[in-house]
Amino acid sequence: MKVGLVLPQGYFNEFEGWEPVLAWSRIVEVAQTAERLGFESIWTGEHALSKWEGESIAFDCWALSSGLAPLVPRVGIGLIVMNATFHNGAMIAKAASTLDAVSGGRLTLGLGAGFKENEAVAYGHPYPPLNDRMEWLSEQFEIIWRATRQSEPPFSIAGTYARVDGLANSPRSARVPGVKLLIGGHGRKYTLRLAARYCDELNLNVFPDEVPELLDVFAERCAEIGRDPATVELNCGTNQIMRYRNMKVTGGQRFAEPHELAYQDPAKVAAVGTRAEELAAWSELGFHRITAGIPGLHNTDEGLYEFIDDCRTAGIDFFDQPSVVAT
Amino acid sequence: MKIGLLLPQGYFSEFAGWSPVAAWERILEIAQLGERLGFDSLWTGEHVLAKWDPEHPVFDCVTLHTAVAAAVPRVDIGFGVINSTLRNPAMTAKMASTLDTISDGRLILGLGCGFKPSEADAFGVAFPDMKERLAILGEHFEIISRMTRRDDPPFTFEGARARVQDVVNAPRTGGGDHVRLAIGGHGPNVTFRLAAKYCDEINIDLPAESMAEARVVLTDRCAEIGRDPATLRVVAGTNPAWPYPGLKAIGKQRLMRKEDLPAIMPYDFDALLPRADEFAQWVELGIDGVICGVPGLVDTAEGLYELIDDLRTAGIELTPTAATA
Repeated sequence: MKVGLVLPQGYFNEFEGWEPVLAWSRIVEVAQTAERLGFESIWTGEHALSKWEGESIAFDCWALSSGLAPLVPRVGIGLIVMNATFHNGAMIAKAASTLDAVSGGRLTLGLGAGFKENEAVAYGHPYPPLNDRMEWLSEQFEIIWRATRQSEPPFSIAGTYARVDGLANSPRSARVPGVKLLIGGHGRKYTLRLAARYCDELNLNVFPDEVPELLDVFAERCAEIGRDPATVELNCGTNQIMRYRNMKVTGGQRFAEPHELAYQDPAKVAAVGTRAEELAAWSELGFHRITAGIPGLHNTDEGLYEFIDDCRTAGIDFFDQPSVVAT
Repeated sequence: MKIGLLLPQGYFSEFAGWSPVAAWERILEIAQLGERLGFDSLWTGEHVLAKWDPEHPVFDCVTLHTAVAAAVPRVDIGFGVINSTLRNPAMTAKMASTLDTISDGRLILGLGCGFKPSEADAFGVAFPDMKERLAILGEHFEIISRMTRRDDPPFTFEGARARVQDVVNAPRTGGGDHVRLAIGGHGPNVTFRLAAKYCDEINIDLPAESMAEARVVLTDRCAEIGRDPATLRVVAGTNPAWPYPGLKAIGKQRLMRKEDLPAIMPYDFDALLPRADEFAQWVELGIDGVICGVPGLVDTAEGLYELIDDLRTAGIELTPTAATA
C-alpha cells in the first residue's frame, strides 16, 4: 500500500496566529521530511476559509502545490480535492497541465463539488443544491478530462454550468496518457459514476465497514460503461482531527467533536478504535493508497513517527516503497 | 531604474515541439540566470492560447510563477498581467495572498481585462465590449485590493459583476501591509483612474514619444483623488517578439510583423528605434522601470547578454549577484 501525507494548510485552524511566512516554511519542512521518510505523495485540498471560527490562515491549495513541486522533487503532488465549483473548468485544466509539467508528471488532480455553503457565499460563488452541484461537477470533469488527455482533439461543450468552444489546451499533460484524476466521496449516483468514467483514483471518505457494499456498487458503475474496476486505484484516508483511541502525539491539534465531521456518523466517530486497527482494515480491503492526515504536524514531527509505528503495527511498511515515483 | 525580465512561457510559440517538462526546466533555468545576472524582477503574463497556433504549448502563468517564486529566492515576482475576467476575483485574492507568502512579500499582482476574444470563447468566458470589461476589472480591483490589505476588516461588496459577502481572506498578505497591485495599459479615463486608486505600479504600453503626455494625465488622475503621483511607479516594456533594428541574438524566435500587432497597441514598427535608444529615451523620461522581453531565450541565453549591452549603452548597469542554490 502506498502512503501519502496530507499537509497542514490551515483549514483545521492549525496556523491561527502564525506569521504567514513561518506557516509556509513549516509546510515546506513537513513536506520535505515526509519525502525523506518515504511517504510517496503529498496532498493539499481546497478551502477558502478555515473550519472553525476566527480569521485563521487557510492557504490556497493550488499556489501551495505549485510552490511545493520544485522544492519536493520526487514524490507525487496531489489535490484532495479542489472545489470545481470555485473555478472555470477550462482554466483548471490549463493550470493542471502546467503543474503536471512543472512536477514532471507527478500531479494527481482531485475534484469535488464543495460542501461548505459559507465558503461559496463569502467568495461570491453560486451554491445550488447538491444534485445541481454534482451536475456541475460532471460537466467540469468532462471538460477537464478531455482537455488533459494527450489523444483528445480540440472540442466544444455547451453545458448548463460550463462551456468551452473549440478548446485546445496545449500542453495537455506531461504524464502519458493524461493528467491523473481523482474524485472523493461515496455517492452512488454521481460520484461512483464519475469515478468509473473519468478517474484514475477513487477516494472513499467512509469507515471501513461501509466499503464492501460501496465497492459492489462501484463495480456495477464500471460494468455499465465496460471499464475494469481494477484500473481504478482505491484511496482512503486517516483524518487529522479524528481522535483515534490511544493516540499519543497531538501537537496542539484541535480535534473534531463527533458531530463536527462532515460526512461521518457521530456515533461511529465517538466509538472509533485505534488508528492501527483502521489502517489494517484498509489494507485488508485492498486499498492502494492511504492519504494520511496526521494531527499536530504544524508543531511537531513526532506525529509522523507515531503514524509510521501504527503502519508497522498494521503490517504496512512503506519504507519498502521506493521514494521515487515513476513519471 | 529597475530592470525586470519577462520569462518565456509559450505565447510567442517559443515552445512549439518541446516536451512540457523540458520547457519548464528551461524556464526555470532562465529565471535563475536572470536573478544571478542582476535583474530586479521576473515576470509572466496570462495567455491561455499561443498567439499564432492554439496547439503550441502555453503555460498557466499562476502555476508557473508560483513554482518560480519557490525556486528563485530573491527577485520580485510580477504578473504583467493576469486576465482577471477569466477568474473569480475573490479566488484571485486568495491565490495572491498565498503566493505573496510563498515569495516572502515579493509579489506584484498585475491585473487586466483581456483583449483576445479567441481566448475567452475557447475557455468559456464572456467577452463583452471593452467598456464593460473595464467595468468588470474595476469591481475586481475593489475586491482584490480590499482582500489583500493586511489591516482591512472582512467586508461585503455587491457589484453588478462580482460580489463577496463578509469575506475573510487569511492571510491577506505574506507579511507586508498589502500585496502590491499593478495595471497595464494606456487608457486615460478608466485604466489611469484604476491605477491612481488601487495600484503601486502601472505598465504603460506606449512608445516613448507618447509617454510624457500620458504621464501628465496620470498625474491629474492622482490629483483627482489626492494621491501623490510619486508613489505610483511607471514602468515600460520591451516585447520579446518585436523586430527592433539591429537585434542579433534571437534564437529561433518568430518575430512579429506589422499585421501581427493587436489593434490596442499603438505602435509603428517602421518607426521602431534600436532597443538601446529606446532605453535611453526612458531613462531621459525618468521612467521607474522596464520589463524586458527578450527574443530566443528558450534557445540561447545570448539574448540576455545582448540586452545587458543595450542597457549599458543607455547608461543602465545591472549588478550580478551570487548564485543561489
